[in-house]
Amino acid sequence: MVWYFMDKEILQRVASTARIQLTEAEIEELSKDMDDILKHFAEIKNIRTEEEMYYVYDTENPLRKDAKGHAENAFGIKDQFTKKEGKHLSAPKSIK
Amino acid sequence: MAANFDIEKRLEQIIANIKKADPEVKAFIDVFDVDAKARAKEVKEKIKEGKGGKLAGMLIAIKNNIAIKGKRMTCSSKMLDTYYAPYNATVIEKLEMEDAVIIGTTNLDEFACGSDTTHSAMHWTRNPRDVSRVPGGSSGGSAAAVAADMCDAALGSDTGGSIRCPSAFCGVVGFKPTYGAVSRYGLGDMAMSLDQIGPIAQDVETAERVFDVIKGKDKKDPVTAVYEEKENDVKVVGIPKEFFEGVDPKIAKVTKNVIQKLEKEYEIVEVSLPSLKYAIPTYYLLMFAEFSSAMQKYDGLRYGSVADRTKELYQAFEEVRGHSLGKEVKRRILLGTYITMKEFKESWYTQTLKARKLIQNEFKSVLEQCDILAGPAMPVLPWKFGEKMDPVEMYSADILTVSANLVGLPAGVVPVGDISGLPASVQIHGRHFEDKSVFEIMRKLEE
Repeated sequence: MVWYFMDKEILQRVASTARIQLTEAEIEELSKDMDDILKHFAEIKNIRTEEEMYYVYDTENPLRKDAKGHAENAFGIKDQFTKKEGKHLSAPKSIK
Repeated sequence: MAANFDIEKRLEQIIANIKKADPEVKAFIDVFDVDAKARAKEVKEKIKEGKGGKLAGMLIAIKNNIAIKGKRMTCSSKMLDTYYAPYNATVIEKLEMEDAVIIGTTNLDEFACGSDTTHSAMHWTRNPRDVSRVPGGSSGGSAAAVAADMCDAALGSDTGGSIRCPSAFCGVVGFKPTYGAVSRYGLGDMAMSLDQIGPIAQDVETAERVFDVIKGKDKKDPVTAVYEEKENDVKVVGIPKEFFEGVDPKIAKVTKNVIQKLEKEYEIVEVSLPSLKYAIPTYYLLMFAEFSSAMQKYDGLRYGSVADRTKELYQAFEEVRGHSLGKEVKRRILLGTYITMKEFKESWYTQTLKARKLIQNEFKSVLEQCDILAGPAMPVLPWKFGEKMDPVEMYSADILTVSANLVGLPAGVVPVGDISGLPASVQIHGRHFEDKSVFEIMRKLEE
């Protein structure tokens, strides 16, 4: 298994995936910090076991059956929009 | 609560304490003195009529990542500094149902990312025991508010020690319940497989009273579906030798002496958890992955900070996240994104899940040999501001608290002594849903 760490080029790709704009100074500082952290944490590669653990317990499926209804606190959520005219709530366009 | 208890007088005293101490300690983000006075008047009448709830008269502060309807829920981030919660978290509903009075919201490391509350975008909170030192984190505001008698109890959230670290640093009692014992509905989530809400108080009895009110199943948090409290029957106390490795020798000495006193009533055995050395990388890598996922919703559209709507959507997201999130939060999101990317996932994330399983198996095996585990709460005393700026060094301070979250165990800390005026605390771990056993031993240590 190949273990990759962090450099400026990888960080720029990661930042784009995470949708976080970084300044040049941040790229410089964070790439070094993150590389140090990953190198420090790489000791987990010494672990030899095949079992994986995602959750502490198996939980019940919380999804309900489809049904007509109103969202709880719909009016409270509406208040969070900053631009609204009557029943019209605006969001930026997602396609150029 | 006795019928002659005067909650309004107690509230006046608490507000006076806040006015005196908080300009320096800075535990609070918002204080609800007007609302609290109105609510205290109602509760006073209920107490007089003998109809007061289980927490009637208790003045409680709430970590500012828990939703209180109509109040600012900042998570100590610029991203949410104008966000007002449209609903109550389940724990708030339960506290209010039992007549607790909410006095205000407390400071934290931004989105709970930190161990000393210096990563808050609001302000730094100071340790009331020594204001030149940090209060611990991330629930540093809640622990400091309790320690400075600015409330009777507080709620915190604990993902890797965020209740227990500040409680130990400020010399108060802190309790992280079993994963699934308390609803997280309305909590600003950090890492969904690790988060728990729990109480901080000046004594074990108060912390247990708050826990008894907030615990239980909640259909809005499916993890609580498994909740089933078990009777306590502690006979054997285990002391893992690894809990004392790398610990400040003064803390090790004080806590070991106090734990040994339990031998009058319990059998004490030494046990071993060799995989504890993997706890820090396992916890942090897992938390990075879950945190990066949880933070995707902060896009400048749905909550708080507003994206520039004249720009293309993704560019607007990137900009608002770039200027509204702090350095530690960005670092954790980026690391989480990195270790879950297709080309890196197998080596990092999958290996982390294996390490978590190994640690769980070891704790399970050790808790078959004994009923509870005891050891120091923190490996170091609270550090001075500016002393711990290297992230790896800061992460390492969580070595004794993160395992309870990885495995989902209940764990509580109780102050047991002083080292040059700073508190030293013992931490108790119990089996799943044996939270009452942890409280039993915490009470013994408090005595």
